[in-house]
Amino acid sequence: MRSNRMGWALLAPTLVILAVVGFLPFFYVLYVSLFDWNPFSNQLGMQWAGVNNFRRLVFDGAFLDSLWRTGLFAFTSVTIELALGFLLAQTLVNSFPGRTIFRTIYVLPLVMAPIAVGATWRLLTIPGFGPIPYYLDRWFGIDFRLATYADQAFITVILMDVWHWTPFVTLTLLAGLTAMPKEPLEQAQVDGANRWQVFRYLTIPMMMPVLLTVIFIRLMDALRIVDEVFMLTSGGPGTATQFIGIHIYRVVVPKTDYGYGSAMSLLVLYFTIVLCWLLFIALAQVGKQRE
Amino acid sequence: MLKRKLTVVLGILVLFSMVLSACAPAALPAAQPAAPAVEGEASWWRTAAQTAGCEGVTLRGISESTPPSRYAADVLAKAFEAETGIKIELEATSWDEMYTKAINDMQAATGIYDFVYIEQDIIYQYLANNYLTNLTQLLADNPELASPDFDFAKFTTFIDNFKDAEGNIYGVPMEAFLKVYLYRKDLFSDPAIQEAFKAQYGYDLAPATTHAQYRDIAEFFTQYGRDNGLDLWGTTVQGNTGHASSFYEFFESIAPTFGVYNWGINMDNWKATVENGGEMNSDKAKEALAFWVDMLNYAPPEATASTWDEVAASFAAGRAAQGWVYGENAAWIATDPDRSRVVGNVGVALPPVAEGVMEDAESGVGYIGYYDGGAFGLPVSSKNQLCTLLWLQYIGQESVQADWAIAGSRIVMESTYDDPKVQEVDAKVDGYYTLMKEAGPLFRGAPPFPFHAALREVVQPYIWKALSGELTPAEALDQAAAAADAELVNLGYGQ
Amino acid sequence: MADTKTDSQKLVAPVQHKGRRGFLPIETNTFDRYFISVILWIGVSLLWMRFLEAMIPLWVSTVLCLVLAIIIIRKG
Repeated sequence: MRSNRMGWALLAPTLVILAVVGFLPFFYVLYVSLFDWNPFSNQLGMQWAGVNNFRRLVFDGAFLDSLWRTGLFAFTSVTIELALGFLLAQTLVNSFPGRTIFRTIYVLPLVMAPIAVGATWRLLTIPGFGPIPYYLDRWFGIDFRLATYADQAFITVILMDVWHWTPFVTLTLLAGLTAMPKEPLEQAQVDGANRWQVFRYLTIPMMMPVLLTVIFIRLMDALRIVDEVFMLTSGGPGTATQFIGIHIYRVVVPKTDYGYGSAMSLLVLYFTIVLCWLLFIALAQVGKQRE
Repeated sequence: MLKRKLTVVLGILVLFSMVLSACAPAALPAAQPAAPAVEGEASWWRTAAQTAGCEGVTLRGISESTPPSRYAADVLAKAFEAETGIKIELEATSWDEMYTKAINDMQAATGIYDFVYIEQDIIYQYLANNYLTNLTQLLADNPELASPDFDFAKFTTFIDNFKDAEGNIYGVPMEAFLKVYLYRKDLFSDPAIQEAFKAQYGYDLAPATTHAQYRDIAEFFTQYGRDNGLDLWGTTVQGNTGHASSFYEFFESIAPTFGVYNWGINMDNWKATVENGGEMNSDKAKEALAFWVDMLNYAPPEATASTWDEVAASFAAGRAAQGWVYGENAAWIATDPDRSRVVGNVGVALPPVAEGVMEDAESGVGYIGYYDGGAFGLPVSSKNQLCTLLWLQYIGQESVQADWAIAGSRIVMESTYDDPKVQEVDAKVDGYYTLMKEAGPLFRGAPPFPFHAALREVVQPYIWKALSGELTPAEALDQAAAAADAELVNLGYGQ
Repeated sequence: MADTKTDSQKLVAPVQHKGRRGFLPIETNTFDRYFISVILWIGVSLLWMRFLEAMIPLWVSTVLCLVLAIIIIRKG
């Protein structure tokens, strides 16, 4: 009994902090989402709306577009990061001259604040001044204008994310690869398995927990991306890179549509939780199979 | 191993810091301080500050980082502090952030800011929410704090924007300018260019008075720039595809010259679509948007990434032959050789207009462009009302106006036009101040919409999509008008 | 980087379920089943509002979800 009480006492600060920074805001947002609340509407103050905000949301083309766009972005960038990261991790497991220097330079993007990454890319791509449009035009005759061509903007944002986060994927996978037991691999080689078979039937299954963890972390990050993109394109051209975070920002801050914005945030939270949970289940299943 | 790694990292850091410091802009020359207080004489301001118990108080304000605001922060704030002992912290930040911070503060009544920048177009939103203190009333209640040098009657009629229905005043104007038509005098007066232009188009090269001429000139100079290997294009376009500035250029500067006023919204029933009596998707509006989007073909490549700041920068860098440019930048573009390559070559004129628009403007039905500006207002939530009242009167004195006008091309008082210093600069900016004085009434600010920002957020994505070519101008305006109608109902206007 | 080995060896399933196996494809404990019910309720309500509410009112979906929730919690 005493040890139990002691445990709660030790947990108390954490629980208090969790309640204040986690649960209170959540319930406040939940509360606000049930109201029409825009200080610039004709009716001042909060007007009870019930689930009307959610009813509007499921028909809101701009919102659903933005959600779809975010999903596409997250899926594409995480896939590329994973493929590239695995390749690099495989390379870095082996020793080669200059590996340490390469590794040091390589992780530099990782330590940069997202807003700085956005600013750097913006300076690189600014039309008329930045080096990227200049050389693309000079060498390949490509008219590179982020603020005009939606496709270019979307691709550049993905590239920026890949540039920023592949090092993280690589480092994590590298840790996993280094920790893998060598015996099964050697045994497989003795048994005459080729490299592909080793990779497909040994490396991948053994790396599964690490892979899922990386996907888990990166997917959550990619879904809530705001700062880099806002800095680079501010969601444009049009709404081509207006991912869900930026969309919510625009509704809540400049438009001051607090009730509707809260409903949006909650819906996004819902999708994120479902996605997390599915990945979590997958992770748990893999863990069970190993036992 | 570790040592080697450290050396590498440190080396990179040193290299970075060297590159960064080499890239840092040269420090701007310090602004000259305003006239110091007369020595020995206990000034009225010091006494008033003591009476109100404000000595040692710090007032915090927020404003957009424009030339007039920076002058207020760098020069007037220091002079005021020297005179009264009241410290002014003026945060001059980006336009978006200024609104975010000011509105959040006033909505939550946190009382962080003692004075905020109120742009002419947002005042109706603020008044509807009772964010601002009635300055007329506050002065009447505290006669001992009313400066003899301050009088609302001295301001231009621009101050009417900051009045409520009873005529009470809620802001002290500190910025006022026109969005004018700027052109490159050196190019327009070059005989060889004039000849080539006439040969191609059959009429004399002069500042455009119609949209067709504007287009011809834009096309001509873009070709001229290409032929001569110059970084020169025909026009600027404030066409940022992810920022409100493009919405504003279209609805407040371009559409009015085609005869579409008040964003195309019918202010009797709050409707935007033609079917419901609005004009947002009328043929005139579509013609205007098509004209403007077409101008992107003759604009420098940064046009779709340009807000008002980049437009001024492009023009100052000599990259455009003509354009609609915010007047707050006119003075530095025309006179500051450190920041502008076109010093002495800036011409100012009225924008081109469609038939009938000038008559509309003269009779007061319409307007030919954007008359913008701002005031400093006193939020109800401020905890230093009386001290802020002193500061607001300080910046509203006649004696500080002339230098401020030169630094920020803004004029808020009739008397400033006659100041010899202002007249001297007027000659250098091709009569911008005279134009503002004489043609000012032809221009107008944003319509008095209490829902300004909310509606802008709904409409602007369509303008962006028209600029990026995702929608045709006609599609964009049809969809925008429908969305505007829906949102207005949402906001409780025009059921 | 030195202790990556021990770190990744710890990388097994983050939670040991002390659940049971019902008709759901995974092993679940009571909390899991409540969680699944709530998630389903929200999802179904949203889809209902989008596609079915014009014909069938929303409370029908709520009742259906409640029934589903009871089944899941009892037998899931």
